[in-house]
Amino acid sequence: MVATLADSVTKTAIFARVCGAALAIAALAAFAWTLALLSVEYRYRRLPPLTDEQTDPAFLARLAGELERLLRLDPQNGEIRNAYASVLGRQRKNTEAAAQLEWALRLQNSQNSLFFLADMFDRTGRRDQAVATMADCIVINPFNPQFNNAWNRLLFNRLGAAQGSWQRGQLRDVNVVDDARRLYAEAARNWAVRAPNDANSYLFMANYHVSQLKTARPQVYLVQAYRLLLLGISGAPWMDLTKSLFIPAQGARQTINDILRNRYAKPYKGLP
Amino acid sequence: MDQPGRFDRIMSWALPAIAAATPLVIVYSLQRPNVGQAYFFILATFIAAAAQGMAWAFNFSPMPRRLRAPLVLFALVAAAVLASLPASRSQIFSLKQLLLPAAGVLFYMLVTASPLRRAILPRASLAMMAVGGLLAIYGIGQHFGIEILNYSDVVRKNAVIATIGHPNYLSSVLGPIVFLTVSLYFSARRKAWGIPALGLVLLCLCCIILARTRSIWLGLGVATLVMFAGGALYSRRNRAAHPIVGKLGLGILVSLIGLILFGGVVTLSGNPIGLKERLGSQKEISSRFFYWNAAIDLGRERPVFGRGYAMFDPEFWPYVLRQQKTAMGKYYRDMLPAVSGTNPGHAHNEYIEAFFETGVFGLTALVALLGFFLYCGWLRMMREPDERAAFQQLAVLCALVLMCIDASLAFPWRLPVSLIMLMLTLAWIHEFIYDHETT
Repeated sequence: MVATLADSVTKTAIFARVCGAALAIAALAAFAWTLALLSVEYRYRRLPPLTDEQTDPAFLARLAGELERLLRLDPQNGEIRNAYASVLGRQRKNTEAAAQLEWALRLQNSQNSLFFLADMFDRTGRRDQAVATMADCIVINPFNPQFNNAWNRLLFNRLGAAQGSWQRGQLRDVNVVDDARRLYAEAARNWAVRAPNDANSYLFMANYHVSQLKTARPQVYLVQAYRLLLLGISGAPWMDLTKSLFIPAQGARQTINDILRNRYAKPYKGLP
Repeated sequence: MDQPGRFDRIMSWALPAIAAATPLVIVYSLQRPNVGQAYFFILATFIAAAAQGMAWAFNFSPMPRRLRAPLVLFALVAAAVLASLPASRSQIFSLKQLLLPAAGVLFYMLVTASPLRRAILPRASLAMMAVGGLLAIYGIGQHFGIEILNYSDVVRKNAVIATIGHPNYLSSVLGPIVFLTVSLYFSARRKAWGIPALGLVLLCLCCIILARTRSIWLGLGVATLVMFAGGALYSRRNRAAHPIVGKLGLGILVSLIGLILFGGVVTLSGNPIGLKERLGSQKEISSRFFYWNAAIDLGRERPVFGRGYAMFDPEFWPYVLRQQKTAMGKYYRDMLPAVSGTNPGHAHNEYIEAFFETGVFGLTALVALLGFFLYCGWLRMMREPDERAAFQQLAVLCALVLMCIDASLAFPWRLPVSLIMLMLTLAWIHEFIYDHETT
C-alpha cells in the first residue's frame, strides 16, 4: 500500500512538472509573440502620416520600406497593408497597390478599400474590373458623395472611350456605346435625384445630354445640357453639399403633416 | 490541502496588481486606450502564467490535484474556438485576436489555482473598487469639461470615458464594481464600511448615468431585481436575513434618491444628460439589430463550428454587399446610412457573435459555462447558513447577471478591463462553490 501511495505521489509530481513546464513554455512563446505584435503596432503608429500633399519620392520610399518591414513581422495586419497600398499607389505602383488591397480586403474590409481598389484597377487599365468594383462600392454606399462622384466619372470616361473607338472605327458593335451611355445615364440620374445639393450631379447630367447631341434631335439635349451646366457651375448657395443627404426627420414629418392638412406644396396643388 | 509557499504569496499580490494596473495604463501612441491596456494585461498575465508554470515544474507551488467542472467547461469553449479556426479567413489573424481572451482565462486559472485565492479575491476586488472609484470621479469630471489626459481627437469625441476610452466600455467596468462593492460590504465585519460602500456605489451609478450607456442601465435594473428577489427567496428560508433585505431595500431607495438629486444638479448646471434623446435614439439600436441579423445569417451558413474567431468584422461588408444585391436588399436599404462609414468591429452581442464564430458547438459551451456559474452559484447561495455570506454571494451573482445582460447588447468580454471584471467575478463564484479547498 505504501508502495502504491509512493508511486501515486511520484506520478502526481511528474504530471505537475510536465504540465508546469508546458504552461511555462506556451506562456513564454505567447509573451514573445505579443511583444512582437506590440512593437509592430507601436512602430506603425509612430510613422509619419501620408498626407494628400506628400509626394516626395524619398519620403515615400522610406515609408514603403518601413511598412514592408512591419508587414514581414505581422503579415496579417490589414490596416498596415492598406497603408502600404496607399503608399504604393502614391508611388504609381498601381498593380502592386491593387494586389496589396485585394489581400487586405480579406481581413480589413472597409468601404474605403473597395473605392481605392476600383481606383487602382482604373489606373492600371482594368476598366471592367474597376467598374464592377466601384459598382459594389456604390451598392453599399449609395449616399456617399465622394464614391458617387468617382462612380459617375468612371462611367463617363468609359462612355467617352467607347464613343472615341466607335468614331475611329475601332469598334464595330454600336451596342457597346449604347450600353455605356445607358449605364452612365442611370448613374447620373440616380445621383441627381439623391444629391440635388451636389453641383457635380448637375454637371454629370449635363455631360449625359452632351453625349446625346449627335443623335436625331440635338436641340432637346442642347437646352437641357445648357441649363444643367449653368446650374452646375453657378455655385448657387443652396447647392452647398451637406454631409447628410437626407431630409431631416422633423422636416419630413412637417411635410407629411402639411399634406395631410391639405397644405400641398405648389406643384401638387390641384392634383386629384 | 497543500500549504502555500513564498511564490504563492508573491502571486497573491501580483495578480491583484495586474488587475488594478490595467485600467491605468495609457499609451497615447496606440491610438485607443483599450489597445495599450489589452497589451499590458496580455503581457503581464503571460509572464505570471510562465512563472506559475515554472513554480509547478520546480515544486515551488502546489498544483491543484482535482480537475473541476469550470476548467472542463473552459476547455470545451477552447475546443470550440480551435474547431472554428479552419473556417477562418486567416488562422494567424484569429489566433492573434485570441490572445486577449486566452490571457483572461489564464488570469482566472491563476487566481483559482492558487492556494491563497481566498486572499487574492478580496485584494483584487478592493483594488478594482479603488480604481473604479477613481475612474468614476474622472468620468464625472469629464462630463463637466475637466480633462487631464492628452487624448487624440478620435478618443476625445466621447465625453465620459475616464482612462478606458469609451463611455460604454467604462460603464461595463463600473457596473460590476457596483455589485462587487455590495458583496464586499456584506463580507466586511465592521459596520462602518456601509457609508463608504454606499458612497462608491453612488459614485459609480452617477458616472454610469452620465456615460449614457443603455445596456448597463438595463443590466443594473435587472440585476437589482434579481438581488431583491434572491434576497427575498433566501429570507424565506432563513428568517435571520429579514433585516438584511430591509437594509438592501433602504440602500436601493437611498441610491435612487441620490441619483435623482444628482440628475437635477447636472441638469441645473447646464450640462443635461439628455435621457429622453438617448432612450429615443434609434440609430444605434437599429444598427445593432442589423449586425445581429448579419451575424445570424452568416452563422447559419456554417452552423456547427462557425466561421472563425474575430471574423465578423472582415465578413460584414461582403455580407451587406451580397444582401443588397438580392431581392431582400431593398428592405434593409434604409439601414445603410446607420452603419456606413465605419466597420462594426463586433456583432454587439456576445452570444450571437459566439454562434457566428464558433457555431452551435461554441455557443452551447459558452452558455453551459455561464449557466454552470449562475446555477451552481445560486444553489450554493441558497444553502449558505450564514446570511451575510449568502448576500455576499448573491451580490457577486448579480454582477454576473449584469455582465451577461451587457454582453447581449455590446462586446464587453473583448475588452481588457471588462474581461478582468468577468474573470474576477467567475473566480469569486468558483471560490463560493469550492470554498472547502482553500486555506
